[in-house]
Amino acid sequence: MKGLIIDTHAHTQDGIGWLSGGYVPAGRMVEIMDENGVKEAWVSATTGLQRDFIESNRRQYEETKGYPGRFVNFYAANPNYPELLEADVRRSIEDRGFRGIKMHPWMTGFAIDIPESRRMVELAIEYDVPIMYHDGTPPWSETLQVAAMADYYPEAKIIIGHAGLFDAYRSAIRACNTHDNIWLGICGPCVGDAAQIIREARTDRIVFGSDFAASNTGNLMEERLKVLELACPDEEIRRKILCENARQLIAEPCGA
Amino acid sequence: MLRIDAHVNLGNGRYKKQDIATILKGMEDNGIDRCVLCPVEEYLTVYNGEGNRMLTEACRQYPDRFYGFAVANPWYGERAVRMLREAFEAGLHGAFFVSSLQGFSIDDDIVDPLMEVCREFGRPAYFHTATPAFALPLQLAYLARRFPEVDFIMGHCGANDFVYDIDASMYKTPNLYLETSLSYCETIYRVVEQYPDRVIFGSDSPRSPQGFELGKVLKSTGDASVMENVLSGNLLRILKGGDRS
Repeated sequence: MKGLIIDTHAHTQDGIGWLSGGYVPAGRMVEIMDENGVKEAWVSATTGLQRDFIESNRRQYEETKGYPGRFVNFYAANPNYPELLEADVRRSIEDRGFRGIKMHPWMTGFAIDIPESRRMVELAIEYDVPIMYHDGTPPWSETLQVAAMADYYPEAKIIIGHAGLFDAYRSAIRACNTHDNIWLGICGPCVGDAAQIIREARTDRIVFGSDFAASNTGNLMEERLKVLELACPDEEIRRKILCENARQLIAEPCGA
Repeated sequence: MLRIDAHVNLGNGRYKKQDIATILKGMEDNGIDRCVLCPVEEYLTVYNGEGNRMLTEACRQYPDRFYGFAVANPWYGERAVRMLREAFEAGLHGAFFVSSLQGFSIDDDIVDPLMEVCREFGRPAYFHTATPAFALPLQLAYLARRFPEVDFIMGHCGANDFVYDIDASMYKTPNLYLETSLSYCETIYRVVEQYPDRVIFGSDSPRSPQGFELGKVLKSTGDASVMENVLSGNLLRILKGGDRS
């Protein structure tokens, strides 16, 4: 599996804003990905979740475009600025090759079920790209609030980014097994919880994520890969989670 | 270097299942010398007396390997006080709470009579944290400030969303300690650097494998004396009544 892993949940860090921590150049990210056998990372801009999202998404595009096939850009969306957001999402997908939308309602500060937020799901459907949500954090990023988007929009491809995170993995399992358009990211649950997710949820709908670069080093990627290895001793299922299931969402990255 | 795991679950519960033989095997595999045993869900919430007797028996059989942290659900009122007192009189070493399962907020004074028992016996109290709205780090900090003579252990360091509350919780709360289980490596590295005398290794086994949790802690510092404190010294200090000088 080394060299074939798809990390569906990663971030770029430009060093601006407190969430972003230090600047991590894309070249350094690629080195860490190579050390861990990761072929491609689906990234969103941490700074874009909180500050100037238009500039942050542009900066991510500029940062990653020198590494074709290694990054898939997800648009870090801020529905608090609907008058600016839609045009920039369209520009990013159409002109810059962005292939997904990232929503972090807790950090960005919006409720999931408002028209401006739901508009992002509609755009994701229009462009046939996945939309990923941070989840597991009440009151604005609860796992079943994300599942409700899958309920409203059965044609959308919804990624529950943390599969319940610390407490809500049972809700994530229920959501995944109820809705045909939900994928669960093993990115945060501890080994025991991840093992239960893999035992009970649809294994063709589980993907791997690291939250990589949401820290200053590659430790998190190594840790998250180890969690999956311990939670899923079955190599065939692990291969699906690490390498294959994500291709249901994005067939190939730009420039692959 | 002595290694003590400050959070190992014992019993056959709805979610967690682990018996003594499995725990001893894990300790052998991972080079763990001693463990703090905590009863699993049903014992924690309802069958407190049975849980404490299970711990007492394990500690009697393996006095050099196990410490036991007793359970008492504060909703039982006077009965809970009596159970905790009996558990300490039987030799158990601390109290263990998961308020989000037991149905109270950590800073609700419903738990005060049990803290009085901890103070009377000089026993520490472990609280699970990181589950809103009933199990948050700052709730524990405010409880700890009201009982400065009791040592408190913050289970999981407020894992994930509440790591941002660690500093405010530790501020002016010298009787509060951080337990590492289920925390991300970056959080562990940070707290070991910032609070070397107040971090305690734990695994929450079997929810997370003991060896995996130990591995994160072993990478946290190259300072042998700090590592010794994290792996055993800090816990031993509060098991002996604390040193808050």
